[in-house]
Amino acid sequence: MRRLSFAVVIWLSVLFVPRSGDCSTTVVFLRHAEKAALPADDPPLSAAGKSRAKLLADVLADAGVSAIFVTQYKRTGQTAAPLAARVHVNPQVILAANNRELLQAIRKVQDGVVVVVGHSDTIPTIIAELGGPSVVIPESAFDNLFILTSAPSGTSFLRLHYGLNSQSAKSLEQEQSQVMQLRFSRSGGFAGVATNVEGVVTFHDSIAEVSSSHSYHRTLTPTEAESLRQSVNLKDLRSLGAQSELRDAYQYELVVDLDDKKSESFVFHNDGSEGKTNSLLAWIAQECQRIWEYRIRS
Amino acid sequence: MEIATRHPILCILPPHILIAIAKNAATPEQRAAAIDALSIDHSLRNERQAFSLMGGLQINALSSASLDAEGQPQKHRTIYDCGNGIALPGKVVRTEGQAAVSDDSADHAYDGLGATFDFYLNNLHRNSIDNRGLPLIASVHYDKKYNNAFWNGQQMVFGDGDGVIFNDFTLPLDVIGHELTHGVTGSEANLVYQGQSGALNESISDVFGSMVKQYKNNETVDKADWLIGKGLFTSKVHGTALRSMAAPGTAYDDPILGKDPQPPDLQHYVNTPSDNGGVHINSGIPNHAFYFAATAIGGSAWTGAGLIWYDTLIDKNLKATANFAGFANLTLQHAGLRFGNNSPQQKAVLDAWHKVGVLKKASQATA
Repeated sequence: MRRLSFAVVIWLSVLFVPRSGDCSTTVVFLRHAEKAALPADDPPLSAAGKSRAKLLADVLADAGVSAIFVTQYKRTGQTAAPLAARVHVNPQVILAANNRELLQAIRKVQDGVVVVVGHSDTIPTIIAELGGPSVVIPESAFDNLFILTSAPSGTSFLRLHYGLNSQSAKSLEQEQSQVMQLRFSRSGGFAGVATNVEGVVTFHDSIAEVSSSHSYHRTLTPTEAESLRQSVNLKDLRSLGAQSELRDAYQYELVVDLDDKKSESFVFHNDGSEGKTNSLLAWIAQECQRIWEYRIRS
Repeated sequence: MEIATRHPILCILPPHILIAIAKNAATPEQRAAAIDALSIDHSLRNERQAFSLMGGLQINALSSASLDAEGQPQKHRTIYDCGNGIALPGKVVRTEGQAAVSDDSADHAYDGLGATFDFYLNNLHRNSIDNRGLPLIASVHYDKKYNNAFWNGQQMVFGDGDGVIFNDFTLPLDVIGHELTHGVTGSEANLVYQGQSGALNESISDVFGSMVKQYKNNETVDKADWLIGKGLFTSKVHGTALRSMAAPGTAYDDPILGKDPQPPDLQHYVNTPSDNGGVHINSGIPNHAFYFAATAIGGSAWTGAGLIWYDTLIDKNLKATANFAGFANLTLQHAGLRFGNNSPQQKAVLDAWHKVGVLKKASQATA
């Protein structure tokens, strides 16, 4: 699918070189990319949606975009944002319900290609009002790209797709689930419960916070937060073998909470050797030590 | 028993009969007598076999390096220094026979391994961890301010402690005895380190670790403190030790560390996914039973309850997945084999398991 999307990039750049001076208008219509589940009233894009938005910028980078219209909803603005930055065009916000204003705005554009980022129920209406055919965008589809060209000689309409299809994107979404929280604990040394330590890492937009008992609190810098988040590799964690020969070694438990409300738990034993190969385990061991140092100072 | 003391008779028996006697001997004296007889031709082959028969289970050849000219087992200690890193084993700082070095941790580990080796050899006729003279390896100064000691399947590892709550983990002799005993258990029943079998694994390390200390201090059961890790806590901590075999749950009660969570009996068994299913918590139950048995039998722990526990540990019938009751029933069998059915020792063991709720009063004394 990825290969196909690059093909689309080339194809579009051949077909849609803007022809200044003639009175044809080319409008690219699309629905916003994949959205997150929450907040329900105005969700941002999910990880897969952000990837698709970046791809849209690649697809239309050389199309000669001169105007971009979005709605008041975050997901449309975020879908257009990478493209807008690439082609240096400020998206204009027109309320999703206000079709007439949108029509007028499109007609006012004298030159270049117009991009309209809307919703599965607004895009078909506006296409029809501009003389295009009837289209249906299923709730699960985010990859449609419609191109309507109006010229004195007549109207042409293309139904394209860009990026991964909905099913592939969904499975990618699962793989790319954002890590929201890490819950970790250390137990099982010679001293037993006396040396137990537990903590929680909560990820926010760019930073992360660690908290533990005895009012331990630490804010991670954006750099540390990002590298920690990237060190969470579920596949790697699943492959860590049990250390059956270790006795009195610390046992670490880790629960990874994902943004799709799924969690996965891991248990591992550390004699230091895993830390050499897994940066997340090394970080957890270090943070446990930091929490301990804080605790005994207090 | 006649057979235990009359060497001349043993001398005329063919080796395969002597081996059978040694293997099936009910007491160490019987075993020793048969082994003495076996050893008279001083062939290294026989001596290897003899020492492998002591302890009874490992029949493979000993490494010749573990015996001296008279065929006596020898210690082979090597102490390494991790230099506060986590690479094992680290740099060699002291090998067998070398004088003390200017590193207390290294010297404590060296002496502690020696004391543990001597305990096993002198009282249980066991030649090192595997009863085949396995060299003893320990690394000290592991990691920075590391509050732990562990056995990794091949060697012992000791941390320096953070200096605020914990002292150097090589300080208490029972900690060293505890870790070395994990190796012993690993070469015998290899009790699965999870849940009840894991708590038994832990308890055996505490039991023998405590006896190593009692033997070194020449303490009888009434003089022993029955504490595990005494001296490990700094004076800042409200507590005397990490665990109390005599009164599980009372070793410490501290604002930072919390309260010693060990249960004294099965009724208070703690179910938890942490700590391999609470192996350092529920070990309090079999620890308590050993304390009851040892103090009821009296004398030195290693001549009474200690022998029964050791016979149980090396019994092939002790399953890796044994639970408390399975282990308890096997100790009753061995109390009977060693001291006689209905002996005071066997009654003491039964009473101990009753007190901690592992065996019910109605159960039979012998299986």
